[in-house]
Amino acid sequence: MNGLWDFLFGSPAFLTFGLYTVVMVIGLALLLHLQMGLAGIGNFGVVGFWGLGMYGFGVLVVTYEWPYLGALLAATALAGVAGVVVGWLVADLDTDGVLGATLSFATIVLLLADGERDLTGGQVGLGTIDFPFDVGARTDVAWLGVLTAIVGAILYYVRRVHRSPYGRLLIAVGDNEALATSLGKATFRSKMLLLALTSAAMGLLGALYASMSHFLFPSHVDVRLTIAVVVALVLGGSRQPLGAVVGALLTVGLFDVVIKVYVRLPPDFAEQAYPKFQQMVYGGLLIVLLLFRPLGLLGDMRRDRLSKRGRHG
Amino acid sequence: MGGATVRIEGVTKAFGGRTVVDVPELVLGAHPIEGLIGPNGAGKTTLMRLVMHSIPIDSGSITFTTPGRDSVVVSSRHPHEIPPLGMVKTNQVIQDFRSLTIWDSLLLAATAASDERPNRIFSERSVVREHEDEIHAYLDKFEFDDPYGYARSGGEKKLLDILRCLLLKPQMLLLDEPTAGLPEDVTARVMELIVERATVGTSVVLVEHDLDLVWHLSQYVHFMAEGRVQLQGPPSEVRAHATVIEKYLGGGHA
Repeated sequence: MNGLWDFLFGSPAFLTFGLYTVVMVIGLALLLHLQMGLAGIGNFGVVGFWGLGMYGFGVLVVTYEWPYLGALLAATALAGVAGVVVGWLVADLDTDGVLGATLSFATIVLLLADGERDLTGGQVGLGTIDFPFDVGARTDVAWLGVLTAIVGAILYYVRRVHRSPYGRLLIAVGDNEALATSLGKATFRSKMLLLALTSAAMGLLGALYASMSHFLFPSHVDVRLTIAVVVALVLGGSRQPLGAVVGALLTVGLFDVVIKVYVRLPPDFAEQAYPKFQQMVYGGLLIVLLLFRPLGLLGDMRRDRLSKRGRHG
Repeated sequence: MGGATVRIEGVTKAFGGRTVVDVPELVLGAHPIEGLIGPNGAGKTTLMRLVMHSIPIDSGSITFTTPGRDSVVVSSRHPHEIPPLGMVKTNQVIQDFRSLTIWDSLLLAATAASDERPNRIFSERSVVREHEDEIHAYLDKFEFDDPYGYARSGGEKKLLDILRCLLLKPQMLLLDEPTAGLPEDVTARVMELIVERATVGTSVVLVEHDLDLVWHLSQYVHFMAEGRVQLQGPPSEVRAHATVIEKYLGGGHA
């Protein structure tokens, strides 16, 4: 038994960090599900909103020595405002235009993180950022608990949205915005509000990550996180509330937990080639999925199979 | 009488330099049911879309008046603000929400904006309770294949489009070719509903190619051709007019 215990929990730091990444990607993919799967907003700049939260928080805490909670709230709000601004700018674009514009936004965030050295430290990094509390050597596990509670709340919210008039409105906007408008629905306002809330939540997840990472580098905010979130959501099923969970477990769960923690990779390979290999697999997977199973493992939304409440005549 | 009216003043619309609508003065809704007829390309559908501001006008103004309330210049309002004022339009070309079931689609139309806010994630039960009776009344009247499944045929989608508009309880109802794509027996029942609405005060404008329906149902007819209203009057007069016969009905119809 001791052998198994050691095998499972022998490298607790790697394990905690891997699980943290999985849970965070689940959270981001759930938020992207609301934007893309329901309202039809193809956001390819997830890391931009997340990164704005992370760096916004880091800069306030480290450079300006703000209190933890104040910086957390401000960074969250900053990402939310960015969501509205980007959403407003792309409002009249078609799907391809939105994808391109949000990708560009994320690139701007990356360039700012790299270039604004006075604020972010650039390539030197920004730190140290500690946890807001200290419960000893395994504070990182407690932090994973905090994240899990927040992502759990997001999952609960998303599932409720599917069974509420709000979800019906978002789906209508995603399906046929002009028709929804003709029924008196304020579609533009709904989309802006959705982007404000979901982008803010992405920013919050970024700010929380700053504590986990301790040091922030521009490489944290490159396109890899966006790809991981998109691949997870598309693999699981972008139209289903549980798609994000299934997809993230099968992708990030496999690469960042199972392989990194339990497969003894040669150190050189683990450092240099493995991350690139992971990106190649994600890219290939995305192509295969979009060609052969664009609705992912869980398939399309089936509202005709939703609970029968209110259906008796 | 005295239902809701739409006043169109000096309204023009051109696409790529070609004038499609040019209406100096027109009042719709002075009678319970009015017909708007004319040959293909006369500008009827464009005029209806201008009234709903789903496309912007080039010049002029469109004013919507409901009894007992201030007039509203709808041509300077956002399109989503117009249905809550009491005016809706059905679609000539089939429009649908592909991920929503028939039940969903009707409930969506009936639901108030205040129940659709992101914080109202527990409001489904009360929203259903509030609207299920009126929705079931429609579902009982028209036999959909599976009311809790998706609309399958074009006919079901077209009917759904009309029922969504009725659920908004408009005071002014613009019907853009409601019979195109509807089975005959369904058309009859839809028209029954429309007449019922008109008798309790909703102003109905019927854009139709089925002229028998127009002659039969409407009290007043506007005849449009080449972007202009060429002729107005009671059905019997319009029907007998030489211009209409020439431009639209052709020799055989007289």
